[in-house]
Amino acid sequence: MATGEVRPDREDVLSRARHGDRSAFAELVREHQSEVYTLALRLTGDRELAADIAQESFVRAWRALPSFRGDARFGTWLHRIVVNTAWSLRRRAGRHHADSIDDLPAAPPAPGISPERAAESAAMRPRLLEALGMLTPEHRAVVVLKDVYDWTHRDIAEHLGISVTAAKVRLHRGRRRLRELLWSELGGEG
Amino acid sequence: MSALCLVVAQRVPLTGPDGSFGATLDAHVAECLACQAEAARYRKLVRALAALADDLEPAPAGLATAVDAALDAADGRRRPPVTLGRVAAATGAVAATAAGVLAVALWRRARHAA
Repeated sequence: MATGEVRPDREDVLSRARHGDRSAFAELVREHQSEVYTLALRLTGDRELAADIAQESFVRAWRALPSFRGDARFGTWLHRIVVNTAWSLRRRAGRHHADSIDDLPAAPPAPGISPERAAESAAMRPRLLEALGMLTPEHRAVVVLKDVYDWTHRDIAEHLGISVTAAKVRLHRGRRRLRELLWSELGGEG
Repeated sequence: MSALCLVVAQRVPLTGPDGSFGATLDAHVAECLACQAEAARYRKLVRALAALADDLEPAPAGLATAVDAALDAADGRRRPPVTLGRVAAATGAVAATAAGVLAVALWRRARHAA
């Protein structure tokens, strides 16, 4: 459930939370905390800051929950709050640097891809995260939202407060930089 | 490397490894091993990035409790809590200070014994 979809049997929990039930909201927090924290971490590359962003995102989500009409999935709606929160705290993000790859735990392969491809991606993961951490915050945010979370250029532009053209330019530059940083891992020669 | 290769290299980061570059460039890529290799590098990069989507990091211990406390504070039930990340930073600072005091004490004791 990578997109944070609320299961049908959990819709009552969401409904209760929307009507001000704190215990129901606490269940949603426990259910979505890992994906919220992960998104914050991918955007910032900083565990301490990501924890603060996750906490602030849930507080903002609680305040905005009465206005959640279910037009988008709850997980998608929550992701947008995380991005807005992370971006509003980007000045702090600029003072932080990415965690060492030694701090990164091993992760299971993503489902739905061949074992060979999963192994290939898993082998690249530490260097990929390190390389993401070396991008500028502006380039990293666009690459993460487009290539990891499959957002449209339009959504990225709207939530980062930039034009669609700027989003495309940042994606182009971010991917090119990653290609340079990961040259040997991508099979480059020389 | 031809001029067409340079155009492909410029466009592939945005078009994507499986996107179309237009008839002329597509025909070139179909014949050009260097451009195919470049597209393959981006294909591998995009695949590795997409794999991160299902790769959840465990949330820090205490996040749910910290959110609850923050909401309580907003309701005026408790004092405003410090945020989770700052708690970790403060804990680290206290530990570092304690280690420093201990080190000075040990150094003084060793010096006195000598």
